[in-house]
Amino acid sequence: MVDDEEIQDRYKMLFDAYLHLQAETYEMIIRNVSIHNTLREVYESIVENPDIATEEIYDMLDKNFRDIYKNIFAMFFRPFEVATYPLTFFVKEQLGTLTPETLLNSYSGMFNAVGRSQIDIMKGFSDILKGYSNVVLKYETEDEAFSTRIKEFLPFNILRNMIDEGFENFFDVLSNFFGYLGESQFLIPKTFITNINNVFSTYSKIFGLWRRYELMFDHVWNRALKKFSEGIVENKDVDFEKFFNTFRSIYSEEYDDLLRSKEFIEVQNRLRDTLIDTIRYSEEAIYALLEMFPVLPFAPRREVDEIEKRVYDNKKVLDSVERRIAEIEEQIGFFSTIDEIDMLKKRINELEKKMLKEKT
Amino acid sequence: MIDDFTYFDVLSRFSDIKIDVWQSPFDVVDKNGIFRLLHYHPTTKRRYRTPLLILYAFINRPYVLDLSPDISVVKKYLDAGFDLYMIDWGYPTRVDQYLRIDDYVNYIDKCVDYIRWVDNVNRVSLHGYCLGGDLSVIYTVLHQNKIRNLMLQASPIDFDTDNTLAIWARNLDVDKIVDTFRLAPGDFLNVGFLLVDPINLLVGKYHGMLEMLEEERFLKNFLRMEKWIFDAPAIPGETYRQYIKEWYQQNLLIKNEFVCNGTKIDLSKIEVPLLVIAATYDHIAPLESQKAILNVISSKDKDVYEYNKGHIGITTSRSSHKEYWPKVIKWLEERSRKA
Repeated sequence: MVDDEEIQDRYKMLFDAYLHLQAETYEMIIRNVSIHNTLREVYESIVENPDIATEEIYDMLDKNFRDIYKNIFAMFFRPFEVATYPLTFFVKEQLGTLTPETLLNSYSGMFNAVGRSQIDIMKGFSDILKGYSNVVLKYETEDEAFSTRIKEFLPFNILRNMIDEGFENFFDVLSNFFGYLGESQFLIPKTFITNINNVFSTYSKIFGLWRRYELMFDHVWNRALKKFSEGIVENKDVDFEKFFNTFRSIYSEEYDDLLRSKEFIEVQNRLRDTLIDTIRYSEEAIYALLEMFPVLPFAPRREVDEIEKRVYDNKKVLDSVERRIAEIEEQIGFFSTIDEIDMLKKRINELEKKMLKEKT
Repeated sequence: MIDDFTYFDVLSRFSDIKIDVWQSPFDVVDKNGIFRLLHYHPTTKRRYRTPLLILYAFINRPYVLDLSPDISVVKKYLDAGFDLYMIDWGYPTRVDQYLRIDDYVNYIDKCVDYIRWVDNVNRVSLHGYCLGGDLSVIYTVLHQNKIRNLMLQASPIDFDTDNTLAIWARNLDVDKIVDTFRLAPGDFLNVGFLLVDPINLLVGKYHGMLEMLEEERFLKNFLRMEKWIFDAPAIPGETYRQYIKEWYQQNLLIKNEFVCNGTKIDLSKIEVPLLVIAATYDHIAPLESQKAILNVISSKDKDVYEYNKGHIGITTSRSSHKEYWPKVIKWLEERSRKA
């Protein structure tokens, strides 16, 4: 029996392990404990039923190995899953009931519901504010004309009038929106719209590519599963280590073939490139907005890039000048000076000889 | 062997195991941006006048050569009496996006000049590991008069190979990656390295660890290795662009067409003694790619020592330290000037 204190100690130990292990190591240990236990469970079921047929083994593996598949590939799939989550969620939710008719109904219903709820909420606010301002102004005894003017400027009244006129204004704004887009000084620049348009166009491709990519892994998994179950039938008397090694070599071989195939590389490249495009267009859209913002406190990335490039270029010039100076110093220090000394020695010798001659 | 594990069984074993890397003490004797030159403290009396400079790749971290107290190539060199230096290429960020291979080679030259000046020698020996070997080769062509011996460990020279990583690299739109991210992020590279062999690298390795849960020394080394694997720095954008385009896609190095600092790198100019420290089962730099240099250089004194390990195993396996590295060190000792 484990008491409360021991449970607390255990949690503390787990948390300590989490704190000082690499995040990836922690994740892979957790996943591999699960993989090991699943494999062990399957192995024991097979050992306990020596007469089990290939189809039964296949069914059992198929049922249990889905978790192993998820645990192995989770780290690779995560970025794509995160990126495609909104679309995946939408498709999964809608797929079961989606027909042209239900789609039309659901959209018109959604718009009606949203529209009606917005109108009700705003009317409600308007009534409350009208009532509130009436209560406040009921005690007004000042000059009537002054009072009327003041009323117009009371925050409640301004807000109330805005709400009463809100719907018309909203639709005015909407109908004028495309007009505004054409104005070059509008706060939403054209480059923003172009890039957002590109974001949507590339993002919509990711989902299809991601499905193709994952299906390739899935397909190989099933093929390896079949091979593995056939392999087990032929060698039921092996120990767990051999069982594991059979799993390892069959799956490893099958995935090696996939990962080197032209089809896989093409899909992988397209998926990665499309994701990168989406990121790039999103970045560009944000830069476009930032650049238009009149009190922008940050430099957009491309300006920082330019600064970095100039610093890099200047550093290169500085480095080459330093190296040139070092070379010249070396030449002077080790070669020219020695030569010069030799030459001077020669000249001194000659002069000494000359002097001796003159003396004699 | 334990039949079933719980998370607690496994993680509790790791909750109080503290690990360290960079085992041997060193001084940082030069710094230039993210680049550093490290000088190791000798463990014995200096026996060789020729200093040794280790050049690691610009992918991953150099401390794999000094990962644990009992498995350390650095320590082996120090114990043999070499004066040892190592370049650490650091952790590039977007600020370093414009660094090119030329800049790496120029920093090597700065370090070599420093070592020659401090140690009062004309030549140093180079030990290049992985892409650090490629940098060593380029440097040797450009400044052969400063090099006494060249050792290339698991260095891909001919990139036209059919390993999965090379196939992927040849099909990569590197411009898109660099123009968007300004560098190749470490996680992006790591996922690539792991996906090359997902079953062995993400299941096989951890299965082995579960079998050894009671061995504290094993667990420590396992964690050190894990730290190193996931401690992946980014590669500066322009360096990555050159690496993928000019090495993998155009294979310029082996064709003698790679240009560094305006000079074509002609490998046939290499005349210094060369040792290829080759890993037989290297899935990153296949054996034929490592050995390719032997056919193109002019050195008369050239050899290949092959060992039946992988790209990393040749450095971190216990057996290679027992059987293989003493041979490598002997090769260097025989070609270094005595102190």
